[in-house]
Amino acid sequence: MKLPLSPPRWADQLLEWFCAPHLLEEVQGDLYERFQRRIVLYGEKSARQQYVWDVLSFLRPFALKRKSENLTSPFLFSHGMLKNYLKIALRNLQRQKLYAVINILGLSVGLACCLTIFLFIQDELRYDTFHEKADRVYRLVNDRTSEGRVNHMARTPPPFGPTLKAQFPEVEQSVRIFSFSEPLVTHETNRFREKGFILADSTIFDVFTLPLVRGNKSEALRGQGTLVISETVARRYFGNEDPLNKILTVDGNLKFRVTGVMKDLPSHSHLELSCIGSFSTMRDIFSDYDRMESWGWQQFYTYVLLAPGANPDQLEAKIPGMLNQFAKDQLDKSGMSYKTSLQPLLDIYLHSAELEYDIAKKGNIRYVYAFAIVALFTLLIACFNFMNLSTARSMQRAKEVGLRKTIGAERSQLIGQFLGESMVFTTLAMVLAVLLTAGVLPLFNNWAGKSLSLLDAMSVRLFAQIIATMLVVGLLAGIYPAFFLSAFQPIKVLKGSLESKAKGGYGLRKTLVVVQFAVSTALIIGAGIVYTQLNYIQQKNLGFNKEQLIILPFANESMQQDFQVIKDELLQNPNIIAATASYGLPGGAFAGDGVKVPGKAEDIGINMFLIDHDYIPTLDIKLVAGRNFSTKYGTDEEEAYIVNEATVKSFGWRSPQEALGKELLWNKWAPSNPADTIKRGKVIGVVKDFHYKSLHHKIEPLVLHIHKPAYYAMVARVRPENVAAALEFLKLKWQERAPEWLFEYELLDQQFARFYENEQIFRNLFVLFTSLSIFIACMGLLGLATFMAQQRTKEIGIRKVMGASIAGIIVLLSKDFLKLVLVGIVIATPLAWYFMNEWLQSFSYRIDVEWWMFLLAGLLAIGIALLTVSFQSIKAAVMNPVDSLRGE
Amino acid sequence: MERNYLGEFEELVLLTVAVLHDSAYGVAIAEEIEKQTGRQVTISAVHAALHRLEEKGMLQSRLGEATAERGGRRKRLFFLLAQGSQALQTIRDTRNRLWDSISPQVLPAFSI
Repeated sequence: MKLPLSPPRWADQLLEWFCAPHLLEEVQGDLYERFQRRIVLYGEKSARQQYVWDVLSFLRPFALKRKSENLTSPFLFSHGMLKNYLKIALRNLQRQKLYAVINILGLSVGLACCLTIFLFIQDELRYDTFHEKADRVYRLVNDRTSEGRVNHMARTPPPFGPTLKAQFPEVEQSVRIFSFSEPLVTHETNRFREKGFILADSTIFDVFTLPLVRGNKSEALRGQGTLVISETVARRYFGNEDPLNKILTVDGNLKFRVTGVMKDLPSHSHLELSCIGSFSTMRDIFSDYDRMESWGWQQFYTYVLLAPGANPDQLEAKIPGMLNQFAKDQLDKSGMSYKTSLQPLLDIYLHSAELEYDIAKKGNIRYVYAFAIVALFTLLIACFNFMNLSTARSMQRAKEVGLRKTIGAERSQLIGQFLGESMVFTTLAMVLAVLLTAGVLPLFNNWAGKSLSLLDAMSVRLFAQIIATMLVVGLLAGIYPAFFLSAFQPIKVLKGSLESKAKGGYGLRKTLVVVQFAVSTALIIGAGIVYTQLNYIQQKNLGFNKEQLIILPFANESMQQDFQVIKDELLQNPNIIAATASYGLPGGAFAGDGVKVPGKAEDIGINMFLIDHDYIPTLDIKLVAGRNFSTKYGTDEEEAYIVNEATVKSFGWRSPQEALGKELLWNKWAPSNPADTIKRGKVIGVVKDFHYKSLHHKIEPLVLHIHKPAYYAMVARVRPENVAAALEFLKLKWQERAPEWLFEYELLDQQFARFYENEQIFRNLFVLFTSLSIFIACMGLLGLATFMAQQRTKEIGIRKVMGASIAGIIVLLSKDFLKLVLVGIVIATPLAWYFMNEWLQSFSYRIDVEWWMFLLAGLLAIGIALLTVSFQSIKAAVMNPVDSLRGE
Repeated sequence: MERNYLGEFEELVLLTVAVLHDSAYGVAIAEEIEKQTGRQVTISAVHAALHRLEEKGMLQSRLGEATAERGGRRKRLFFLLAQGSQALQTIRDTRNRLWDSISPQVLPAFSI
């Protein structure tokens, strides 16, 4: 048959281009039919011409107008389709219970981690935001360099604030704070130790937001001995009585008159303030008020309020000039130099971890970051599970996709369906996660020392954030499976030749498993190193024996003067091995002062323990040269010093032996004879370095010597088996001498442990979240292993029939996964090494990161993975081949 | 009745669909009109009219068989719906009434 002549191609193409697709077939068909008849009637040439005219005549609105979608296929999210999608999703959930549980549980645990950490971080970031001028308030941070050592101090000398305010117009206000360390406050029979007792300039009300309920701000802190107390404190001492003009006695001798009552500070404040005394009360405490002009006495926390729009960096740049002008002589004389910076109020809580001598409540921004990263990783691992299992199970859904496409589903509809499904999963998971969070928050609070509550945090904003997270997670987890599944070609799927396609997703699954295990292994390594380091700190030989040391502050001056008598009385009790009176304890307060070396004009800043004859044996500190103070030598009290090894090194003495006999001079604090204010003495002994500060810091030079007026506490070493009896005895002794006193004691090892509270919390949480992420990763692995075993049921059956051993099959099924886990470990190792080394740098005394830690973590990861996988492998391997092969 | 107003060409097309009964599609309708009226009809005009009539609910359509001369493309076959036949009937009734009310002597004579 002769091929029919065809009309002009260009006209045809034009028609195809402009004509609405739903009309094209009939229109083109009619035109062709007419064309063929016209060839017969009028000849080809004319027919072609008329064809062109006919085509052009179709340039009419009706032919151009595209039909809107909803006329051919049902609306994408029509009621019926949505119902169908939901039904299919739920049926899949029911049919594949294991996967559903893994997916939803994994996601919900991941989300719960995120939610908890989110609440935690939000809480950490809330500090000090309640101050109305928070964005303009800065704290002065002073880095002091002396003797080649740098101390990052939160404290500044007293003239700093006032001078700044006088010199620079951009400083609107400044306030100095002097802190008592938990003094005993009494009113009639009420006696309590008050935390947060400070003296402050009256300008404190201009800088901070501290609303008064009684009294007025301009009057309250005027004159010596005036005091503003918080509502809680007022209730504690005065009950329902009017607290105004009542008298409170501090540490037995200092009298304050209450002139105002302020609202309790919110708990999210870096400063804990319960009582604010007027600054001029300093005159009652320090007889030499000239100290207030000293640029060397770093004892005050100084806050400045900048004028609106003032640039803190510019101000900071001007400070060295100011110091040069006002403080140069004093600083040069004592061989110190300052580098001062302005720390924004809102940064104090999280960014002060490095600062020494700080009363601020502290968090640590590093931990905030670390937790945020861990939370995201956990969620990521859960999302990966979802992706993995969805693509792995694609075979089950492939037929559905094929059928839907054949019936006329568009790809976008299918993508919508699968994304919707992952949203359903995520929604279920989120609901679970919220419940889970609510359930574990009390436990978390306990561990983290927080008081987070889901109910308190509930707000429209949180709700929106939760919904947003749900959308993001649903999208993240669902987008790949959605595109992967919707790309199936119906013809291949329905014919059953999809194997090659499923293999394609296999590459991605491998990658995801590798990432999951890399993250998990890195977390294991991290947790391991954190754990080891903290154990190291707790078990490191501190250079003295910190166990069973009980610290008892003296209740009054007479006790302090009678310390020798008390000590003898205590030692008569068989449960008390040793006792000593001192000012200066490891983990507690000690003096920072200066000594002179003959021949040098300048004071050398140095730490100082003021001790008695029994201090060194009681604490079990080792002497490396010379001898301890002895009552045999009457001169020891007035003419002897003991130093530590760090001092020997710092002073340039070549050996501890050489240090013996060197002369030191010290300005006495409370000279008994006004004519003799200098203690001139020789070094009689050198002690081995012992840790008296936290292990974040290096051991610094220390001088120990006898100075009775400074003693503030008795330290007793008790028999470990009779601690309770010893305490009972001590209580009796103290009450005998000071019946009005609250009997309080502290254990030295606990005091020392408080240095690492933040680290302990960090360790607990790190271990918790690491376990959770490993748990989720393992659930994913379990799902994959189950799936793989199912896929290979027949293969395993045949292998067994052919004589394969159970062990051989377990190896066969496990080795693929093990390879992936191994790759994960290889990737994780350098990353973990880098980050953990960074963390360890914050300790001056730290463990070395060693290869066996990685090996151990790797083995642990492999072990966990193997355990997970083998559960399925063994099940598959011991199956009777008859069952698996019977099917066909 | 405004909505169901039929243009002259539309009326022709509608009538032709009725005439062709089971095989009313674009080309056939055009050719039938050409045959009956002797005037040239563009195919696009027929399509436009059919399209409008379908929208007005007087016609419905389905795709029919394909033929070789159409290049394997299917025809769209049109069928009269009740509303369509009612419209035609109304027109016819109106015309008949008008014819009936014309006195025969008024019409000028013409030859057929």
